Amino acid sequence: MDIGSQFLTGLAVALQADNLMYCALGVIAGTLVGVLPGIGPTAAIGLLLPATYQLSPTSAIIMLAGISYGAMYGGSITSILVKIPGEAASVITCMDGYQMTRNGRAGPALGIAAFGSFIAGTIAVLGVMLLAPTLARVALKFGAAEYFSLMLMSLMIVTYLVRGSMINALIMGALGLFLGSIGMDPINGRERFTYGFLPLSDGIGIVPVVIGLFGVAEVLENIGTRTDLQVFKVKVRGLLPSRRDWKDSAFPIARGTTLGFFAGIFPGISPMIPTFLSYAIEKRLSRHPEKFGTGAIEGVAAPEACNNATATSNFIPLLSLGIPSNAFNAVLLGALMIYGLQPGPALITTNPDFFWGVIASMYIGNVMLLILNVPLIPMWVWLLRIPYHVLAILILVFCFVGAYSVSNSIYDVVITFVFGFVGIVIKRFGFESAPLILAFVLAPMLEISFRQSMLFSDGSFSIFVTQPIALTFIVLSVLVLIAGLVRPKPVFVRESGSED
Amino acid sequence: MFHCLFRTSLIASVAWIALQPGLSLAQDAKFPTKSIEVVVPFAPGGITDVGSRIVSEYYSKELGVPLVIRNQPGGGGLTGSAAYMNATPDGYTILAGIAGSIVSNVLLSRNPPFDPRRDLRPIGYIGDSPVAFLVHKDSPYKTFEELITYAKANPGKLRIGVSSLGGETHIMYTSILKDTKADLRMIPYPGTGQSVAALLGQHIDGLTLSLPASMPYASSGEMRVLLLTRRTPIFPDVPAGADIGLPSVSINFWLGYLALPKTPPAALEKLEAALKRAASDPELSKKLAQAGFTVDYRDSAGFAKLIDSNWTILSQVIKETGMKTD
Repeated sequence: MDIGSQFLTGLAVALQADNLMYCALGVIAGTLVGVLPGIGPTAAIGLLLPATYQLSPTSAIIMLAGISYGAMYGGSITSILVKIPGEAASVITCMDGYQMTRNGRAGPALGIAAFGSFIAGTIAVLGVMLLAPTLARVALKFGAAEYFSLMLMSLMIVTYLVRGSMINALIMGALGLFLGSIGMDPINGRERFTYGFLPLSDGIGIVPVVIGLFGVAEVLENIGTRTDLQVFKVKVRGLLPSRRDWKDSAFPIARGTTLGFFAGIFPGISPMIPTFLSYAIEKRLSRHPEKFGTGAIEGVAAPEACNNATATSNFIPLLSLGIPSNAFNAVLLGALMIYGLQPGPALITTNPDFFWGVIASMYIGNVMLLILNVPLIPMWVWLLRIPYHVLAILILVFCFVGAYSVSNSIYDVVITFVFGFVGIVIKRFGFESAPLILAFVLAPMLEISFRQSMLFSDGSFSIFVTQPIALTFIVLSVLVLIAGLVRPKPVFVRESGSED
Repeated sequence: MFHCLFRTSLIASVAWIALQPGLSLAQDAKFPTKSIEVVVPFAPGGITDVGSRIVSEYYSKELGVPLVIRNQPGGGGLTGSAAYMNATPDGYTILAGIAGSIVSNVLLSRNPPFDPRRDLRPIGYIGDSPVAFLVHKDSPYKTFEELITYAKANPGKLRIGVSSLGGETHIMYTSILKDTKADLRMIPYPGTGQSVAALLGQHIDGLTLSLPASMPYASSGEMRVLLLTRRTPIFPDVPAGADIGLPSVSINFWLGYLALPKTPPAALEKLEAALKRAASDPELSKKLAQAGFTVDYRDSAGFAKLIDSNWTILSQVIKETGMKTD
C-alpha cells in the first residue's frame, strides 16, 4: 500500500534521535502548560517559537504539535484534581473528574484520562492517515446554515441532558448566549454592551469565564466551611483504573473517540462542543445516569478520549487544506510560514517527509504521553495531601495568573473573580453552569452562522429547511426541545446532598 | 522550556557583547541596555505576528538586545495599540503597527483612543504585502472586470467573503465598492480559515484575503487571483487596482514600527538606525518574501507620510461608502 510505505518513511523521520527528543520536549511542555490554567498551548507556542528557529521545520512542528496534544492531557489533570479546567476542552471533565477526586478516586480518574486519551489519539492518528484528504473535502460542504443547525442541535442536547429542569437549563443557555453577545457585532462591527469600554470590545474571554465558574467558585464556596475536613478527606482508593472501571469505560472511550474525530474535521468548531456532546450521550446511554455528576468514570473517559481525538483530527483541515481549525493551529500555520513551508493542499505532495513525519510523531508522542503520565499519577494524588487552606491559595493564584496570561490583560483577572461569584450564585439557586458555558462559547459562531445564512438567503428562514443536512439537525433540535418540555426527563434524578 | 528560551537569549546577548568590544565607550548614550518589548496587537500566528517575529530576529541582532514579542490582541488591533499609549516612553517598548490597527480602525471607532499622526512617532517602515481578491477555480470570471460587469447587471447577487472587520480585507472590499459602484454583498467571517473554507466549498463567489494566506491556494490552482492592491512579481499577470481604474484599491498589508513621541531622541535614533540596517539584510528580505512580504524600507518621515496618505484615502472611502464598525 502506498500510504503504508509513506507512513513508514514518516516513522523513520519521526524516530530520528533528534526528532524523538523534540517530540518528548513538546509533550512535556504541553503537559506543563495544560496543567497551568490559562497558559494554553497558544501562548506557549508564542513563547517557544523563537527558540525553534534554528531547528528544521519538521523537528519544530513535531515539537509544537506535541505541545498541542500534551496540553490536552495536562488540562485534564487540573480539571480532575482541583476543578480548574486547564483548557476549554477539559471543562466537562471537571463534572465527574473532580467528584471522583472527592470520592478518593483521583488515581483512577487520572488513569482513565491518560489511557482514554492514548487510545483515542492512536485511533485518530490512524484516521488522519487514511482519511485526511477525503474528509477535508467533505467538511467543505458545510455552509453557514449547516454550521448553525449543528450548533443549535448541540446546544439543545446539552440543555436537555443536564440535571434539573429543562426550563432552568434553558435560562442558563440564554444567559450564556447573552454573555457571548457582548463585544463587537460579528457582522457590522458595532459594539454591544461595552459602554465604550475598550477591553470589552472583543467580548469576555472564555478562559476567565470557565476558570471563574469552576476553579474560583469552588474555592470561594469552600471558604468558611471547614473544608479541610471534608474536601479530600476520603482515603485514596487505588491509583489505577480497576477492571470494573475499564469495563465501564470501554464503550464511552470508543464513542468519544469517534465523535471527537469527526467533529475535528470541521474548521472552527470548538473542541468544547464534541466533549459536551459525548458527555451528554454517555449520560443518556448509561444504565445509571443518576451517577453522572457524582463521580461516574464514564463522564471522564468519554470526553477525555473525545478531546484528544478532536485535537488530532484538527490536523486534517490544517495539513490537507491549510485551514487552521483553532487558535493553536493558526499559530502552527504561522510557524510553517516562518520556516518557509507553504501549508495548503500541496503540502502532502511537495513535502511528504514533513507531512508523514509529523503524523508519525503524533503517534509516538501519544505513547510518550502515556509513559510520562502514568508514573506521575501518584505524585499528582500526593499533591492533594497539601492542607486545603494552603492548596486553596495556590489554586487561586494559578487561576488568576492563568487568566492574566491569556492576553496579558488585568481585566481578565477581574472577570475571573466576578465569574467566581456568579458560579456560587448559580449553584446556590440550583442551576447548572454547563449550558451557560456551552452557550457562551457557541454564541459568536452561532450568531455569525445564523446571520451569514440570512445574508445568503435574503432573510428567508427557508434556507434551514431546503438543505437536507441543515434540516436534519433542525428537526432533531426541535424534537429534543419538545421531549424536554412535555414530559419529565428520565435522567435527572437529583442526588440528595451528594454535591452541594 | 522557559529556561531554554531564556538561556538562548542570554547566550545570544552575551555573545553579542563579546563581539562588540568597546561599544559602551564609543557611544555616548547607552541605549539599549535591556531587552525591548514589541507590542503586537494581534494574536500569535497572524500575519502581523509572523512578520514581526521574522523582523525581530534581525532587528534584535542590530540592536544587540533581545526583542520580546508581546501579543495583545483585540478590537482589530485597537486594544493593544490603545494600551500602548500608556507605556513608558523610554524606547524599551515599541509598537508593531499596520493599516488596520493604527489607521482604519481608529477612523472607524466612535471614540478614537488615539490619533496615529499625533500620538505615535514612526520608527520605520519594513515593507508590505498586497491584499488579493480571489475566486474559486471553477468560477466563470476570468478577470475582475468580468466579475464587476456581472455584478452590475445582477445587483446584490455576488457574495464576497471578508475575514477581518475594519482590517485590510474589509478595506479592500469597501474600496472596490467605492470605485466600481457595484452592488456586492459582504459575508463576514470570523477568521481567515473559515473564509478560505467557504470559498473552497463555493459557498461564496469571491474573497478578499492577504497575500500570504492566498499563495498556497493560488499556486495549487484551487483559487484564482483576479485583483491585487499592488502588483507583485509572485503573480505578474494580475493587475493592481490602479491599473484598472480603481485608485482607492491600494491599501496594502504593511508592517512598521512606532514609538511614543516622548521617547528620548537618542533612543529613537538608535532604534531607527538599527531598523534601517536590519531592513537592508538580504537574508531578512528572503525570509519575509517566503511569508509574502516585500521589504520596502522607509525611514521615519517616509512612514509618517504613508500613514498620512492612508489616512486620507480611508477617510474618503469611509465617508463615501458608509463603511462602519463602530
